[in-house]
Amino acid sequence: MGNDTALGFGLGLRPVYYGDIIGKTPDVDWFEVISENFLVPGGRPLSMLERIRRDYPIALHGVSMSIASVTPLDLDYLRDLRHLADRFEPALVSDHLCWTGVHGVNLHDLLPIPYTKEALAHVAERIARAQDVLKRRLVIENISSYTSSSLSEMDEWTFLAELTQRSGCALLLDINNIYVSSFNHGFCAETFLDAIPVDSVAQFHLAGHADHGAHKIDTHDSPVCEEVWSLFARARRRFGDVSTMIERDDNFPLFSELVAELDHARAIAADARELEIAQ
Amino acid sequence: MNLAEFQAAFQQAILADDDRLAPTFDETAEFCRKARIGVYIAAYRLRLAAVVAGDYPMLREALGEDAFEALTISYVEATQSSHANVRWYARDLPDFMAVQPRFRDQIAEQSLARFERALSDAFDAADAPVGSAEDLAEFGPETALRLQLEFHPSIRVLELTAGTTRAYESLCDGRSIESCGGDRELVLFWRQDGECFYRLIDDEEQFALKLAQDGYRFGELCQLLAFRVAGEDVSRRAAIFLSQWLADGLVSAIALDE
Repeated sequence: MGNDTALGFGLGLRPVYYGDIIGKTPDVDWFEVISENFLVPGGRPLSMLERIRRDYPIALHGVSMSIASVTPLDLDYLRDLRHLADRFEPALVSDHLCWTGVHGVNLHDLLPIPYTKEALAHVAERIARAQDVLKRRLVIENISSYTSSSLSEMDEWTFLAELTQRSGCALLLDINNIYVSSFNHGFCAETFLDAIPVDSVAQFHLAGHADHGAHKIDTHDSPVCEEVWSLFARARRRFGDVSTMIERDDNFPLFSELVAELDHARAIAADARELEIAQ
Repeated sequence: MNLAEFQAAFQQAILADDDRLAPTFDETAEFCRKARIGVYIAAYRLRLAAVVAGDYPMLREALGEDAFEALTISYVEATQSSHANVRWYARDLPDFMAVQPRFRDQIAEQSLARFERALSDAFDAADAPVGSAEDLAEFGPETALRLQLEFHPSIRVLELTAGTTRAYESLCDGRSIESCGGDRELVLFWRQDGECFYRLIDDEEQFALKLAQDGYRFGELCQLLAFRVAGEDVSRRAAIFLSQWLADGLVSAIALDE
C-alpha cells in the first residue's frame, strides 16, 4: 500500500540529535516522533519539532493509546493527539497492538493480549472509534512480547491480518519485534511476514535488541542485527516500497552512524527492488 | 478467563511483583513462565525509576546512589501512574519525601527536589509571546501608571530553604555542597526561548510581581509597594523591577487600562 505515499528512509527524532538536524538537513527522508513527548502545553520540544517539520515529513508514533485495553478509550488523549496531528500534519499516526493498563493505572509498557476472537472484536471496534476521533487512518504496530497466552485462539499474524480487514487500520510491521517475538515464542518469522496482506502495510520499523541467551528483549539500544536485516530484505521483496525507519532510544551513537545504518537499509531495499524487477 | 480478567490479573502481578498472580502463560524449558512475567515486572520498575532519575539528577547527587535508589524504589512502589504521559510521573516526589520517615527531616534535600521540579514545570509550560522594552516604549512615559502586564505561563516563585540555589549550582558543577537550611530564599523560575532560567528575588520583588500578575495597574502596584518599602523611591524601584522583568522575558503582553 505504501507505493504512492512511501516516505523513504527515516529516523526516530530524539532530543540528543536536534543539533545534528536543525540547520544541517542531513540525508534523512523523514522523522518519526514519539507523540507523547509533544503532548505538552509548550516549550522547546514543540518549537524544535516546528523547525524540523519545515524541512521534513514526520510521523507521530504513540505509546499510550492502549488500544487493546478493556478500560474505556481515553478521549482526552485522543483529542490531544488529534490537535497535535492537525498542527503538524504527519504522514502517519501510529500506536501499538497492546494495552498499557486498566482501572485507571498506566504501567507505561506495551503489554500483550491473548489472540482471541473476543479480543479481535474488542480491538477492531476501538480502532474504528479512535479513527473517528482522529479523523485519520490509524497505523497499528506489532509489539515484542515475552509471554504468550494459552487463551489464544489464533496466531499473532492471523490476528493482525483480520484486524486490518475489520477495522480498516493499516499496519506498522516492526521487523525487529517480529524477530524478537519469534525467538521468544518459537515461531517462524518468515511465516509471520508471509501471512500479512501486502496492501495493509504502511510502515516498517527497524531496531536493535538485547540477547539474554534464552530470550531476547526489545531495547532499541544497539544496531540492527543481521537476522533482522535479512527479514527486512524479505519484507521489502514482499511489501515493496514502504516507509522505513530505524528506532534508537539508548546508547545513542553519533548521528552519522545512524545515517550510515539508514544507508544500509536503503541498499537492502534497492537490492530487493532489483530482484523484483529481474523476476 | 476473558480479556478483562486477563488484563486485571496481569496488571496485578506486575504491580504486586508477584508472578503467581499472573494469568496462565506458555513456557519453555529455557524461558520459564516466572522469567517471562519477570521481564514485565522488572521493566515496569526500571522504566519508572529512570523517569525519577531523569527528573532529579542533582537530588541524586546530593543524596548519593544508595539513598536515592531507596527513595526511588519506595516512590515507585507507592505511586502508580494514571497519566498517559510518563513525563508527569515523578512530579510528586518532593511531597513524597516530606512524609517518608527516612527523608522527612532532610529539609535541604526536599528543597532541592522542589527546585528541580520547578525547572521541569517551566520546561513544559505553555508558550506565550515575549514583550520587550521596545513594546513598552510605544506607550510613552505619560501612560506609565495605567500599564497592565501579562506574564509568561512558565513563571513560578518558590520559597525554598536558604542555600538551595547555591547547592544546585554547586552540584551542577560537580562540587560538594555546603550545608544549607534555617532561613529561606525566594527563587523565580521561568523559560525563555526554550531554556529554563532561575534567579533569587527579594520579598519586595515577589510582592510586586504577584500584584502585576494579579492584574494591578503599574500605578496601583507602586502605591501598594510603598506600604512595604517606606522611605525609598518606590516608583524608581518598581521601574527597575519592570525593566528586569522585560529583560528576563517574563512579560508576554503590555496593555493600557482604559
